[in-house]
Amino acid sequence: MVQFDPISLRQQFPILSQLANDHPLVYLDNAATTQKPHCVLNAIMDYYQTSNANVHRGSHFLSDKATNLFEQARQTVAEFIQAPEESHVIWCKGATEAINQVAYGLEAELKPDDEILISSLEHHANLVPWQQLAQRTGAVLRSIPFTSDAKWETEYASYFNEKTKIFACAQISNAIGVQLPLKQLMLEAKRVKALTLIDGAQAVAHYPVNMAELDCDFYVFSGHKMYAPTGIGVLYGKEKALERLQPLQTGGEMVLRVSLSSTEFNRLPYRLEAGTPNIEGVIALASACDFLMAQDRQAILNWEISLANRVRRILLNEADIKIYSPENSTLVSFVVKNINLVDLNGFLDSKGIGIRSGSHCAHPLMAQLGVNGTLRASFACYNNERDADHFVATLLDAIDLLAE
Amino acid sequence: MNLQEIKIQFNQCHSKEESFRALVKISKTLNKLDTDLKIDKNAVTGCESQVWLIAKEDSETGLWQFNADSDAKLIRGFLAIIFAHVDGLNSQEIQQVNLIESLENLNLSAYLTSSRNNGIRAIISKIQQLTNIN
Repeated sequence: MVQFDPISLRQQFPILSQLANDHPLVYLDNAATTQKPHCVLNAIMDYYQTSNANVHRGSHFLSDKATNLFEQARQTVAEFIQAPEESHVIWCKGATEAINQVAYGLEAELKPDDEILISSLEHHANLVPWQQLAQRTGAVLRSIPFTSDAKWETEYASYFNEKTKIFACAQISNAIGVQLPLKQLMLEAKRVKALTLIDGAQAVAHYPVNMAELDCDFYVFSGHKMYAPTGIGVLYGKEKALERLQPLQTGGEMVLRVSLSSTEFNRLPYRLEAGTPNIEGVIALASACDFLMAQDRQAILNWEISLANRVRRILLNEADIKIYSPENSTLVSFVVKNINLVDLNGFLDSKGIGIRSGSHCAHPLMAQLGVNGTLRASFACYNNERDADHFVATLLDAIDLLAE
Repeated sequence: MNLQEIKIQFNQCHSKEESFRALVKISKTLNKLDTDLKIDKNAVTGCESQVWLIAKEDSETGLWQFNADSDAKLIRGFLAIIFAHVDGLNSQEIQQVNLIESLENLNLSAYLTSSRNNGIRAIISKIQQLTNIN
């Protein structure tokens, strides 16, 4: 294990050593996407320089090399999420595609009046596919409300009933950093025999995850939020759950035998991976997993939380700031009374600070909180105290400048 | 603030921060819109923040006067600059003003992110649409 050293860790991310609008770049939009370390960038370059060929098809030198790297990557990712079996790791474009695969894949099983249950703080990616599935099948989409004092409705168990066929929720809210009580929720879902899906997009960069412990039917995440490139992500599923899915896409790679009148699909994982996959993305994702597994992950998590708490402590003293994210999160999500988010974001950007303002693709949650959006500063392993302090000082300057 | 003063002001800006401060400053010159005018009918859609815009044509002279408001000072700053270009012109003259180019000449192109840029473009389209009644 590499001993945690924030200075040498940051040096592995070449993009960070530039000026933004004449100021040293401060990147605090990590919940949207993370930057990529040298090892991930090199994995892409190496693949094209030494191993590029289509996988699973040809039997020649490069094809074997590419296929080996590709299937080793599946093992690496299975290890990263502590999945018992690598053939249960399905490649997809990202968490959004993974959730769509599950939503389309279960369509034939749903009847009118069946219920799909989600939480009210979901990203649109874990809401719209279920809403559309409900509309296509006559099922009902319900959501466990999240109360504004950041406590889960104590009665959430009552939302699970014998009609609940699917329960889907985030591990961590992208907009406000709240962690859901997954253990209890999974127990409730199992009690009513609902299929369960956890959106781990906001978790995997920060927390080691263990599929056996989570015990969900499906777990999805995107590579680009955990130091890998865009366009690659994972749908993990238990074998029985994956077998129930109709493929979202059909075509090459996912078949065993094809005649004009019928097709016999391939076994898992290939059955759900139509077409030439994103080979470079898969290999780079494995490199990002290796990168993370080599780190002292607890030390990194403590570091990220300490930076967010450092910001949070100062913002708590500002009467005009309302914070929506909990303590000991890796992000701080807040609004400033009477000051527009676009203005605050504009001033921060002019000082080289990149954060996110807006609804964070979670309109129902924002409506429930009674705001149009929030400002969100989200931390990753390469951020440092200077980033946190520069952000806070600039934010306070912005408030001075923009207050009526 | 007239066009000449605006040009002087923004030509002195050598960084995005200075432009931002200048936009906030000029936003204070824009009159506020009455609350009863901040309605859907007057809203400019396609902006990251809320914007309402009203155009009035003098029935005798055919010259236009604009009023607008936004909850973002940044957008109010842009509105003040845009109106300095088109206030008191007739429809034909307004159609000939290249507002995007004018904003670029004020060193504001680098400042606009694509989403805000779209908002400014939406405001400009709305002005052209409202004044193009012939």
